[in-house]
Amino acid sequence: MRQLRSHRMLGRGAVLGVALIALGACSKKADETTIQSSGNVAPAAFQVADVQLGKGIGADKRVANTTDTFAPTDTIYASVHTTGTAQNATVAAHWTYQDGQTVNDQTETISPTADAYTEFHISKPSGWPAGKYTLHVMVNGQEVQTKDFTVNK
Amino acid sequence: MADPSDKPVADFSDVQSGSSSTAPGTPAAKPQSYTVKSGDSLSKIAKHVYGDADKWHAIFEANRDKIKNPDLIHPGQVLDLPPNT
Repeated sequence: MRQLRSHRMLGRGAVLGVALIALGACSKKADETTIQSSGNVAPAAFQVADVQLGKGIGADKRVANTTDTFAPTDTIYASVHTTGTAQNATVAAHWTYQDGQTVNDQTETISPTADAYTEFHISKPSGWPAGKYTLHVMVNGQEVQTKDFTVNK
Repeated sequence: MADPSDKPVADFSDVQSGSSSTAPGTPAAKPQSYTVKSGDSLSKIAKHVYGDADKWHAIFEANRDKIKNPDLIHPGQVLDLPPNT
């Protein structure tokens, strides 16, 4: 009888042991799956991260002095920060005045392999009319961001 | 009472523009030129076009056939603008 009981206990212990080993195997498999999926990263989608306006631009195409208020004689710079990769993506700047008039249109075709900065600048020798302006940033023909700015007298 | 339609329309016909990118694949051979205006200097043009006045040398070198003295450019002169490097 005692022998039978000890056999039963041995049997329960074996079942428990097998279950624990199986659990360990499962968690190990889950870890492996995670590593596999993180090692197989898809290329980052190309998108606009940020748009900045200012009165100057650096060699790295980033705006030096960010502002949204300009004087009539200022050259207005816009820097579009993009992330991700693309082949022949078009980044366009469509500048408009408060009455809806188009001030200027510019397009750059780029094939970034990492973060990139694309700058656009406009100037007007006879001076900007005072008022409110909007920069519309387009990627592959789709408007992705707008920035309002003002020209004061 | 003044007619609102009499309000002068803003004229943007003389707007000058430029663009460039840190990303590869930008067509580098985009021919660009600049017409010198009264009061311009090579460094002023370099600042306007490239955002860096020190790049006046590049404009001067690209236009050696038109500019004898870098301190002397004339309104109406059409200068070749080399790609920004």
